[in-house]
Amino acid sequence: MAPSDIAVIVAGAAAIAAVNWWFFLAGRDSGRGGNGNDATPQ
Amino acid sequence: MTPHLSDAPPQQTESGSVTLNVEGMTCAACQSRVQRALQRAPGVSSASVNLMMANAAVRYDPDQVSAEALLDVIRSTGYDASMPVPGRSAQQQQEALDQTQQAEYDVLRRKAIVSGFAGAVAMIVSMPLMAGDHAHESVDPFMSGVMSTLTPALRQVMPWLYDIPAVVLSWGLLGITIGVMSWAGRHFYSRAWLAFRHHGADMNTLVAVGTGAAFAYSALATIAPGVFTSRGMAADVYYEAVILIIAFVLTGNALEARAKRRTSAALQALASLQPTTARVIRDDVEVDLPIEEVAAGDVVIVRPGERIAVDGEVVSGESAVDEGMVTGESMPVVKAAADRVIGGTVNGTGALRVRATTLGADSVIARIVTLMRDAQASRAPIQNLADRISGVFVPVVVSIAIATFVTWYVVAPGAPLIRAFSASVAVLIIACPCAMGLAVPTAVMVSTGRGAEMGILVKGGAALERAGDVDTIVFDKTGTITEGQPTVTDLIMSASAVDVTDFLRIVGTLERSSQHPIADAIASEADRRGAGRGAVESFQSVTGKGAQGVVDGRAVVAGNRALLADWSIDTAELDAAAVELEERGRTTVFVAIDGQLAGLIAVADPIRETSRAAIARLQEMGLRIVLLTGDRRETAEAIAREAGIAEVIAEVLPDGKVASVEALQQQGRVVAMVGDGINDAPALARADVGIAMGSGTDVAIEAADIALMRADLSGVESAIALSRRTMRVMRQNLFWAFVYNVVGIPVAAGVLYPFTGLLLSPILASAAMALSSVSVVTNSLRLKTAG
Repeated sequence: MAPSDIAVIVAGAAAIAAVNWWFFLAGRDSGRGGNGNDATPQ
Repeated sequence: MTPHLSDAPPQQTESGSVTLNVEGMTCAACQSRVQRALQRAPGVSSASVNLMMANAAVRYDPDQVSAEALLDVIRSTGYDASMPVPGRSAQQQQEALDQTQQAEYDVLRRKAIVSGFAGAVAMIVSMPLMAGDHAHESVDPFMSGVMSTLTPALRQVMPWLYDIPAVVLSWGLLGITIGVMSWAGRHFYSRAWLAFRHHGADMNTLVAVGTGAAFAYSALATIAPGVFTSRGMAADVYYEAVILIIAFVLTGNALEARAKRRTSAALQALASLQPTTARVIRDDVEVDLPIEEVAAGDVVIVRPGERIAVDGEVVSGESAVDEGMVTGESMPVVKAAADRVIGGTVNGTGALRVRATTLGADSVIARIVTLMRDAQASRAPIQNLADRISGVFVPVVVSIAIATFVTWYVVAPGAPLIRAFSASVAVLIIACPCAMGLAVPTAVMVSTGRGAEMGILVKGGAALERAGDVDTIVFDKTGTITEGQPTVTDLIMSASAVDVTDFLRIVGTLERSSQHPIADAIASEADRRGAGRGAVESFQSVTGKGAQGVVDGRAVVAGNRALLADWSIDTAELDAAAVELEERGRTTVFVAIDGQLAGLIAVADPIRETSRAAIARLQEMGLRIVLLTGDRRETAEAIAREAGIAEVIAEVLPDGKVASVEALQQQGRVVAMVGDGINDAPALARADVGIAMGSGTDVAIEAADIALMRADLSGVESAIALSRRTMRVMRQNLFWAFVYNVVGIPVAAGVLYPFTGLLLSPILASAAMALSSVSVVTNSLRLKTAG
């Protein structure tokens, strides 16, 4: 595997982690809540 | 009889409850973002946001937060919000909503058309670029197809296009794309950014990221092509995809906006029934006034063929009134003095003078429209599922898109970079969950609107869902299966009785204090026979048994055997006669005066003409029918025989009704209760679906999930049939929306490419997405012809 391939894989994994952290965890940490899992039953 | 809607919930109560208008939401994720933002705001106890109605119903504590602050909360999520204008008539509210929706639709349509045109231009201009000196074909399968078809023709028609230097074409496309993105597509980026800042993501995010990435790639290739060529890659541009994606998504949004307007057509029709002027008698002069100036107590003149201007009570005149538009009743109803009429219904051939009673927002039509709009704003439980999925969906899709890019890059190094890019963008676009967000709300809207046209008021999506699952229907007897207007048929005096007229006077006086229909029948009979009235003291109504009191100094007891047994009064003398009457379906009332059995009154309450046929049809639908009543067994069974019901539960006290419903539910049955009258309310509330006959009391209508405006059991059949059909449509919509995404994402990612060479063009993906939204809406609109 070429070094550039590894770089892209690592970058991709980091990007996926960042996306999920931002949308699912960061909001909750800062007290602003998650992303749809806390839908209040009507 | 006109329905009583005097207890419909007002828009603002002491505990703080308001319905705010929200503009610009286009999908379920948008809606759930606004909802979460409101629910998280301090002081808010509950919030229900409705995509189709473009509003948010919020309950809050006025000490902690104001309605204005709630508007700011909504605005911070990227959508515009406004307060409803108080005191508006149904007509005005509906008009305001129409105008907003029309404006939204016009803007979207204009943007879609312009960007569509720009997209076509971009496609044409792109072709020389792609067939240019790098001599490689477009990686986009759609564009490849277009190119191979159109290039020869284009070379002939516009040969000069191929003489323009590639760099000029490239910069030209850059300019057009910036124009489209910043004007037509602006709200995608602004809303995606706002959502992002709040750790949220919705459809706008997908469109923004997809088109933004494609644009950034293409802009780099235009401005600094060396970055690509120095690495042995072609400096491909992808502008036409960006513009066409925006154009298709806008088209889908515009069609949704148009569908919103059409689905509320039923309510619009209802709201527009109310005339705008009325002919009022003021100071003995007939004067035409705008409807807002009519006051309660004014006498309004209704000429033959006119629409009745306001709700009221007939003062004089007699006419047959067509109440079809409001109650669904096909036959005109005769109205005479003291009868109530509904504003908006059509007068027949007689003239009427009507004293106005309820006006403006309290009128029957206004209340129905408000009720229906609240119903459409409520959630069907099945929708919560779609909401939860859409909130999680988008970040997951972004992750899949990134993974797609990485996989292509690593696994297929021979393929151009832009192919990896194109696949990622296609994943983002095809994953747009618009159809999923529309699947349930559109069906609920069309269905409740259709129901309203048929005189069936469904109080919400949840009621609709449960009604579709019902397998057992419990009917109350009096006022539901029967007319509810009993009349005295027999009067048998005991041997030791007083004079008949005396007897009637005493019993009539007692019964006049009671609210029960049987009491009314006896009191009316006493009046009819001119028995006169006495004075009553210590009146006491004994639930399920009868009434007792002191009339003209004499102790009177009127009721069933159980009541007389409580007073140790022997009924043996008239028992046989009573049984014989009961076997013929009469209800019997024993009367004792001063501790002695005085007489027996038989009251008959005929069953409605339509009951038998309606019940037969319900049985054909596979429903189990049960008659539940407080009446004596013999009476109940006689009525049941006449109505065609096999299962009877009789002699039940009000508490017993609730227990009977519960017992059926414990058998695993989904129970609907059809009732009318105060003693039904608890059982109506306990049943899975409570259905109130509109001719009944306000209490029953409030406790019920479905209100039938017409006093006709065929409404029950229609309600259940409508629910079943609606649930079917909802499931179809969700299935297709889900399948479309589930199948589309892997195909877009290129999963089929190694086997079939099949790739999905992002352009086609956006077209398919628009199509899926349209097909969900169209499928829901089929419900307009239901029933």
